[in-house]
Amino acid sequence: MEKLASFFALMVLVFAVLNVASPFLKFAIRLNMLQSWTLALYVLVVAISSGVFHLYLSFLATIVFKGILIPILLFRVLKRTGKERELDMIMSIPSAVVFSGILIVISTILVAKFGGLEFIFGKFVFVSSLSTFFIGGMLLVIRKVLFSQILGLLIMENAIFLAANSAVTGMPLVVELGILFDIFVSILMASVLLLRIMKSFEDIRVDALEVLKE
Amino acid sequence: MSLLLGIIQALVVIMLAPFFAGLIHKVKQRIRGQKGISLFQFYRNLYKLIKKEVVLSKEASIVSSIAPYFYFLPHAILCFMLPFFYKNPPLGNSSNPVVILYLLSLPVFFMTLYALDQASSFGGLGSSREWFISSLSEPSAVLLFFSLCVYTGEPNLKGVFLKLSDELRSLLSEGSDHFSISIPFLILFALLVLALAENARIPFDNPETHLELTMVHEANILEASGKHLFLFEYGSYLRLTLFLSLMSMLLFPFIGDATLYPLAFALYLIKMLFLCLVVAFVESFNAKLRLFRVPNILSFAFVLSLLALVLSMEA
Repeated sequence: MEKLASFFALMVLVFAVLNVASPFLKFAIRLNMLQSWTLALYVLVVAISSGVFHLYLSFLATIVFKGILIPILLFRVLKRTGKERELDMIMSIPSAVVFSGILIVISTILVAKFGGLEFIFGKFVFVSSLSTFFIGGMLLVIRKVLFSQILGLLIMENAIFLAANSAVTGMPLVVELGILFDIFVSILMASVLLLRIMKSFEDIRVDALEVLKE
Repeated sequence: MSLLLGIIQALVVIMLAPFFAGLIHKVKQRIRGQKGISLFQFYRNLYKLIKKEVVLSKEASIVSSIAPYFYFLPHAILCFMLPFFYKNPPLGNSSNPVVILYLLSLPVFFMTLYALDQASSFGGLGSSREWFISSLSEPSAVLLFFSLCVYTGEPNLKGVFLKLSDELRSLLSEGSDHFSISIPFLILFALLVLALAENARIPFDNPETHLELTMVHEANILEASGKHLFLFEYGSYLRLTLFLSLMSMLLFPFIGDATLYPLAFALYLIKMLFLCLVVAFVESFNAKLRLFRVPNILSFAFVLSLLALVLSMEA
């Protein structure tokens, strides 16, 4: 059981790294969907091994909100913007991927300093969540398309969810549902904003937005 | 007795190499809807090549006449080092990861020298591309072998695979829990990427065409003929078989002693057939990458091996 849990936690991290390496927006959204599914499977493993009932519900909520609704929304927004091209980044993909490797090493060293915490399925789950968090932050900064800001945010949210389930058996159900709903609404608003920007500026690239428009 | 069985193992692997390469080729052709070559066509090709005489360009120096042998021999020596299915390979005690890495990149060095030495314009092009891919996949290979050694605590790859095999057997019989899903998964995935990159397979290079704009491996051996081409071709089949065998030893590590010899061999064959199918499918359902996209995938493989190293230090 422990091996399976750490495998799913690892897959969350691997999908985050793959997201850095993906040159296309559509592929990045698909990877985000897969990451949410592996996260949900991790929650399921925790639920089965600990026997806490509300974790099953949080598994279902994760699948429905993050695994199905948000990707469908993102795909539709992507279709509306009509920008299914390559992602621009301020550094090249290989250097960004190697940098995310450095982030993994840094978070491993950081977690080794965490003395007092007890983890359900070993330290690695926390290492994985911490480095996924860092990688999500990095994606927020280095990509030049507004759309991928949303993706970076989602990856960071997944990382926090994983961290919450690594040390304790999740948060109370009300809090968890509240966060999921928050994320859903914020993605909804961000996509509406994105479409508005697209409509009035005709581009969603960040550096194009800096230019003054008359 | 154990020496004899070890030598038989290495010879069997060397003999089977063209078969595996032919199988991948055949499966790819069947996927495309062609009838496909015979499974033993590559043996016939090799037999044809060994009878022909060598033609060298008049610019060629002594390097050209020794390089093909140095392409073939390191691969053949590697076959004597790894425990494919029998636990006592003749040169098993020297199967240090550093030695293995050097033996895997020495042939590339001589192949590129051969390409440059013949003074054809494609040679320089092919050798620079070959080193571009090879040098990018090297760090990943280093971390990968080291993480295997750190995980099992053995200095030699022979010991690594024997220990993995023992772990699997104790898992099956007693249900012990010293094993890991994550590390073999990461290493297998990274090895698959490396196997495709180092053997000039489709996302990186197409082994079947001689289109001058895209070829990498073929551009290096374009000038080779007769016995030299035989050595290069056979060497590249061996290289593919070696990479796939490394994967097969991780996929379901089962290495037998003298009594389990036939069973372990049968398992090895099944695993290799499965891996050949995987490679053929990957090759058939992917398009060849632009050369400047290659670092993306190889850097991803590097991070995977780094992750495996981090994990194996924790375990």
